Amino acid sequence: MSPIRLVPQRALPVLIGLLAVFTGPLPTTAQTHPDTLHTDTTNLGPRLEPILDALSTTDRTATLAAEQLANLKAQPLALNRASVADLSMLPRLTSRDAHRIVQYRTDNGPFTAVEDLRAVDGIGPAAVQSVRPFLQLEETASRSIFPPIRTITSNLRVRLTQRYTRRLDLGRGFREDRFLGPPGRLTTRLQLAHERRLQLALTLDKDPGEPLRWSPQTQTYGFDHITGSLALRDLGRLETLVLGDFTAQFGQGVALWQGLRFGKGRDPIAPAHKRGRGVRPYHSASETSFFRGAAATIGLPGELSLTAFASRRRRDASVDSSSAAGTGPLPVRTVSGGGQHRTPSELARKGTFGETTLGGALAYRRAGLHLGVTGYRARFSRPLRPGDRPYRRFRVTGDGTSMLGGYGTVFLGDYTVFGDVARSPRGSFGGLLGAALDGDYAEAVVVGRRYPPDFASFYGNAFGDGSRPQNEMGVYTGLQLQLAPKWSVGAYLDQYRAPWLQFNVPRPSTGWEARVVLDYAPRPWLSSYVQVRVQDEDEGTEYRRAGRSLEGLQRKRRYSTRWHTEYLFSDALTVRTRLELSLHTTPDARSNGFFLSQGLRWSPHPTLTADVRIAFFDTDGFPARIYAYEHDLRYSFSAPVFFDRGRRAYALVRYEPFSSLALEAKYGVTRYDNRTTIGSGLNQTEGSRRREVRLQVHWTP
Amino acid sequence: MRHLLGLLVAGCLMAGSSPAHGQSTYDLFGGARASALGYASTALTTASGVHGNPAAAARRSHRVVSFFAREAFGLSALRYGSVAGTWPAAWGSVSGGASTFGGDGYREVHYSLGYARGLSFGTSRHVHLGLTGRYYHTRIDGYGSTGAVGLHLGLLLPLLSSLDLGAHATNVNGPSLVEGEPLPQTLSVGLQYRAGDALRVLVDVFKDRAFPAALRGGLEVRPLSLIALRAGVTTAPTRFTGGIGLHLGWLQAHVAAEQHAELGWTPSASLDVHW
Repeated sequence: MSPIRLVPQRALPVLIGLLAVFTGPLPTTAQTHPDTLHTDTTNLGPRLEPILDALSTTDRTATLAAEQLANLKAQPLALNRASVADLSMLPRLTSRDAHRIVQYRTDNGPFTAVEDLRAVDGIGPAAVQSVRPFLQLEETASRSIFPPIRTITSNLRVRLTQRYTRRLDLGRGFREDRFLGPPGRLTTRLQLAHERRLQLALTLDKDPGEPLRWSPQTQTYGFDHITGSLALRDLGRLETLVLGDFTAQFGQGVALWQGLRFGKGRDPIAPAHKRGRGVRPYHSASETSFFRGAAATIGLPGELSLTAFASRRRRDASVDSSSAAGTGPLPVRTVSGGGQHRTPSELARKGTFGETTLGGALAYRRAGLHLGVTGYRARFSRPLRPGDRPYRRFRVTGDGTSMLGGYGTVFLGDYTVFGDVARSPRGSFGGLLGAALDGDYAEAVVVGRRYPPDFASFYGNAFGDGSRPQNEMGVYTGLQLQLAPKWSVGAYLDQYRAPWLQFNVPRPSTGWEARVVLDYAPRPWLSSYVQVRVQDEDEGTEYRRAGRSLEGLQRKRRYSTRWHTEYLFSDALTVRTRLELSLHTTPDARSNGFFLSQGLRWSPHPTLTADVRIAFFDTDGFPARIYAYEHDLRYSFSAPVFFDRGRRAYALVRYEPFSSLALEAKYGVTRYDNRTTIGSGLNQTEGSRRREVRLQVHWTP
Repeated sequence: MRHLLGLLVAGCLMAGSSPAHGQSTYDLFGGARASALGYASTALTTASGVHGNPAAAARRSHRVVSFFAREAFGLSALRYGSVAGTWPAAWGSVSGGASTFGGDGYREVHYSLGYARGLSFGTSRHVHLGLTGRYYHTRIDGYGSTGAVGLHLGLLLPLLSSLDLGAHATNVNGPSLVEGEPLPQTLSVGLQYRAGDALRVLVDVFKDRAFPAALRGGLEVRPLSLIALRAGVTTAPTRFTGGIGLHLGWLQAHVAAEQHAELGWTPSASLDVHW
C-alpha cells in the first residue's frame, strides 16, 4: 500500500502566462482592411472550408486549394482583364456570375473600383466581400509588349516562403531507422512576378523521412520534389506561354483537367459547373497531376484561341518483374501518386514510368457562347498492365493512350447550359450535360454525367462522386434559396451508380448522397448554420455460406449533423463554436460520433494574431469519423480526421513585424483516451499522444 | 467503511458500469439554481458558485457570497458543500471559493481562485473571459493524500440582445492526481435565451473526455419578481431536475431536487448574499 505519489504539475507557468494575457494592456482595435496583406491568409480557411467540406478531403486537394487561394490573394486577378474561367474560380462566384461580370465589363467599360461589382446583376454585397481580396484593378501596365529590363526589375515582386514542420512523436519508420531521412518536412517557395506578364516560380519540397541528397539518376537534386515554371502572358497574340511545370484544364474536365478540382461541397451550386482555366503554371508541393514541358496559348482572328502543349515527365510506379520477360521494358501495374520516397523500396519506384504527352485545345469565345475541342496523345516508357483483377479490367492499358473531346457553354439570360463529351481510345463516349439557373433569390443546377466503365480517361477529372470520370453514371441536383434577408438554404441530391466493379466493391453498386444547409446570418458579423448530410451506398463485404466465403455487397448509411457558429466580435476577436454528430450504420453494426470545439482568434495588435481551439471528440471507431477544419499556416489547409475518444488542442500565432515579413508558428496536440498506439505501418507511434510543430517565414521584400 | 462502500457503489453506477454512462463529480455543482436547471449553466449569465463558468464572475455588478450544500441520493458519503465569493472591480472580478466532497474514508477538498473581466475589443459590446485555478486535494484513509492544480477557462458572449453563448473548459492543463489518471477534462458549450425577466431557456452540450456527451436543458420562469420556478433535464445519465428560487432583495435562496431513475433523489440548497 504505497502512498499516492504527487505528480509534478505544469500548471504554474501556464497560469502565469494566461494571467499575463488577461492583465496585460487592453488590446487596441485591429484596423485591418480586407484588401491589405495584413489580413492574414489564415482567413482563407473559412473561405476554403465550404468548398472543401467533403466527407474526406484528400491532402492533395486541400494542398492545391490552399495554394491556389493563397496565390490568388498574393497576386490578385486583374478585374478588367480576367476571363470567365478565371473569375469562376473565386469563392462564391458561379460560372454565370463570372460571365455577367465579363459581359458588364464589355458593355459598360472597365470597372473603376472593385466595389462597382455590385452594379452587376446578381452580384450582392456578400459576394463582393468574398471575392474582394482576390481582385485588383489593373496595375499601370507598360504599353509595350516587351518592356525594358529596367522596368521589369524595378517592378519585380518577390515572395519567399520557408516552412518547416514535423511531428514530435515519431513513427515506427523513424524509430527503427527504416526511413533514410530526418523527420521534418522542409518546403521552400520562391516566386518572382512582374505585373501579370512574367511569373517565375520555384518550389522545393522534402517530405518527412526523405533524405536530402543529390541523385540525378532518380531526378533528385537535393530536395526530393522540385517544381517550377516560367510563365509569360499578354505578349501580343501570345496570350500565355509556360515553360516548366504546368497544368491544363479544358471544359468540364471530362477529357483533360490537371490540378485542382472541387467536388461536392457545402456550396451546392458553384462546384457543379466550374470551367477549366486552360494552361496554368504549376508550382505546388503536391507531387501528382501536372505536366512538365512547354505550353502556349495564342489568340487567333475570329475570337479563336489555340493552345498546344508538350510534356515529358517521369512518375512513380512499381515495375512488375513477375511478367514474362520480353524484348521491351518491364511493365508496371499502376502509377502511384503519393510522392513519398522515404525507404529504399519507395526510392526504387521513383521516376520509373515515363510519360510523353502532346495535346492542345481550340476555343471559340464570344458573348453568350463558349465552345472548344481538346485532345491529347500520351506515350509511356513502359507498358501499363493493370493486372487481371476484375475491377481493373477497364483501366488504361498498353504503351499509350489518347482522348479527344469537345465542350461548350451557352449563356441564355438567367440560364446557363454546359456540356463536355470525350471519346476514349476504346471508342466509348463519356460526358456530362448540365443546366443552371441563377435568379435573384434562387439558384439551381442539374448535371447528368455518364462515364462508362471502359471510358478510361487518363488525365480527366470531371464532376462526380469518384476521383476519375470512369465507371459512374449519375444525376446531381443542387438548389440555393434566399428564404429571407437573414435566412438561406442550400441543398443537393446526388444519385449515382457504378455499372462495373470498384476497388473493394466486388459487384456493380449504387448510392446517393444528400445535404441540406440552413444558414442564418442575423447580423453582418454573426453567422450560424446547421447542416445535415446523408450518404447511402453499397460497400463490399464477405458472407459465410456453408463454410465458404462469398464476396457480396451490403448497404451502409452515414448521417452527419453539424451546428457551426462564427461570431466576428470585432476586428480583434472572432469566436467559433462547432458541434457535430455522426451515425454510421450497416446491416449488422451501428456506430456514433461526437465532436465539440470552441475556438478563439485574437489580434491584440495589428501585427499579431493568435488562434487557439480546443476540441473533444468521441466516436465508435473509424466508421463514425468526423472531419473538422482547423486554421493552419498560409498555403495550408487542414481538416484532420477524428475518431476514437480524446481531445485536440492547437495554438497558431502569426506575427508580422514589418509589412514584408510574416512569421507563423503552430503547435497542436491530440490526446487519446482509449489508444496505446496511433496510426499504422511505418507511421505508427507509441503512446496516446500525437504532437506536431509547424513553422513558417514569409518574406515579400 | 460503510460510507466508503456507498461511495464506491454510487461511483460505479455513475461512472459507467451499466449502462456506460457517467459523469464527472467535479463539474456538477454550480449551485442549487444550476442543479434545478438540469446543470445547463454554461451560458447562465447570472450564475454563481465555485464550479460555475469562470467568465460569469465578470458579469457581476455587486459582490456576492454563495453557500451551497448537496447530498447525492441521500448518502452522507456523497455530501458536497461549498462557499464562494465574487468581488467585482473596475479592473475585473476576482472570485474565490472552497468546496468539499466525501465522508470520513474519502475526502476531496478544492480551493479556487479566479479572475474574469469583460473586454470590448474596440466595440460597444463586451465579451467576458474568465480563468480559474483550482487546487484539488484528495485523501483516502489508508492510502494517503495528494493534490494537483487545474486550470479552467470560461467565455461568455452576447450573440444577440436576448441570446448568449457560453463555453467552459476544465483542467485544460491536464493535471493528474496519480500518474496515468488525469483529473476530468471537460468542455461544455451552451446557449441562453432570455425573453425579458420572465423567461430564461438554457441548453448545454457537455463532454467529459472519458465519458459520453450529455445534452442538458433548463427552463426558468418568474411568475412573480420574488419567485423563480425551474425545471431541467440532462442525459448520460438521464436525470430530471426542478427547483424554486426566492429573490428577497439582497438575499436569494434556491432549493433543487434531482431524480435519477436508479439512484433516487438528490436534494440541494444554496444561498446567495449580494451587497
